[in-house]
Amino acid sequence: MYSKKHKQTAQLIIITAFVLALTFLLLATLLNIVIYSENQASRGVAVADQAAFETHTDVNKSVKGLLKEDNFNNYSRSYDERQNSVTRGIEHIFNVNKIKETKNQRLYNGTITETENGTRIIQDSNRNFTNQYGTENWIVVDSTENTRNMTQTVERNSLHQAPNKTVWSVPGYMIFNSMFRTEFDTSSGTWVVYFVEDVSTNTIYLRTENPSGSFYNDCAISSSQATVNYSEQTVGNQDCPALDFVTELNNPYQIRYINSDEVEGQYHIHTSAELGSGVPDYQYNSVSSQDSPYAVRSIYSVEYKQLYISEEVEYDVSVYVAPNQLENESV
Amino acid sequence: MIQQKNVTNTGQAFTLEGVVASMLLISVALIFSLQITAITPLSASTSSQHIENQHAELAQGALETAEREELIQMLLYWDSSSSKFHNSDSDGEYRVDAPNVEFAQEVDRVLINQGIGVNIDLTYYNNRTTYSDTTINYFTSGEPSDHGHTVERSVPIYENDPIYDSTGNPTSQNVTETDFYLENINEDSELYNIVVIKFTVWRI
Repeated sequence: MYSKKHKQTAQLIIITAFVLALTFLLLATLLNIVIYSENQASRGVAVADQAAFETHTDVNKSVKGLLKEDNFNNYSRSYDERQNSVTRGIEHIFNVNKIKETKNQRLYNGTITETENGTRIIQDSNRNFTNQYGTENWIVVDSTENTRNMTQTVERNSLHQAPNKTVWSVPGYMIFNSMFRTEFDTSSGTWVVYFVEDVSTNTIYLRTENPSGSFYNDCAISSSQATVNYSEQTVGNQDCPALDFVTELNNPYQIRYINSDEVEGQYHIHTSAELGSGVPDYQYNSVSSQDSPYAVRSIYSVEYKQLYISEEVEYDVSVYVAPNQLENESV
Repeated sequence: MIQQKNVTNTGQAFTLEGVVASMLLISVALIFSLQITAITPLSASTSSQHIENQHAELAQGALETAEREELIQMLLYWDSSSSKFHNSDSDGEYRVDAPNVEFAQEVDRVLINQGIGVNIDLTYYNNRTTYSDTTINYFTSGEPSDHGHTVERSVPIYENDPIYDSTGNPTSQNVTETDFYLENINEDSELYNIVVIKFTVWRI
């Protein structure tokens, strides 16, 4: 029926059709690969990093919370009891996260490398800042490497009164000898924080003297009381440059209250020194009475290592947990 | 000349036939692939990964920015008299109405009302040595689509954490004084249990 020429033409047409079809399929596949690659490029690592970060944050928050819960409860616990309690709790947190990550085909392992004992010094009722015997000049912390959550809430009317701030600002002026002050004694000298009430403006003034005897600018607050937060370097929740020195203290240092009958209020200090050695326990009332001031044994910090391995990420890190301790701060 | 014109016409016809044949082949291949996999607008594909990315960010943001207090309120929103979560269905699960707690209300307002499906499942531990666990459905919008995304957050429950009443306020009872779905699996420390919240979001 058909000539040989026609048969060859038909074959040619079929081959051309196949080539065209394959070309279209190839183009479609190429387009798909481009879309897929673009998606993978914008997704892969970020998601993997995110999962590692989530686990890191979860564990960190849990350990911080546990440390806080333990320190703020069961005041009569010894250091051994606290160590045991915190260690068991953290190991449980590690185990739960290990199981959780295993189910997600990832590896997680946490190990406690160090727990540091500390002391919380508390005056939670309004009184002057003298020790339990009423001594005005006394050592609050004899020797410590680190302090956190250090706050003092002072009543304006209880402070030593100055006629106006220009008078009390003069170094060597006689009223300095009568003011309440907090001293930080380091190997390179003593930093002193003075408190006074300016009766002409009803203002609380705070002024810092450095080891060479120079003054920083004042921090002032016009209020009946002010909370001085050494750890956050604020007075009444406002930045106070006069407290910036806390990041420069040489370790170890001593904390003293001088003229502590010239102030009334409350305070809290969490120090890495142990009660009975770095913190002189005779200065404080018994923890069972909780009469101010008193001192409670605590766990100051925990250090742990954690290893996280997934298909995309390997994350090995050492973590230091001391709730509310700011970076690079000593107080 | 006449013969040459006939040859040209034949060539054009062959070319056209070729194009039609290729279209036929592609159509057959396409119909075949569509029949073997059910592809819907919610099906996962290489081009839907941006949606997955969006869902991942959405879920992560919602869970990570929640304060622990908000999550605790959700986890300890317990009605001791009926031994289930306050105002939940008979099987202890929420389906239509989100519970009257801050996190769930926020999820309802920001996600569910915007056409995002949300499932919240809780996994907790029953045994301190084997760490056997139980997973319960807390809130269910339905079955997640292929490009849904799940994030997890583990929330520690401490011994002093309170049980919450139906208005979402803490009661005077803490977890150690209440018989409820969690057990104290770490009596040596202040840690009571750890709940892993699994939060899944997808486009409805």
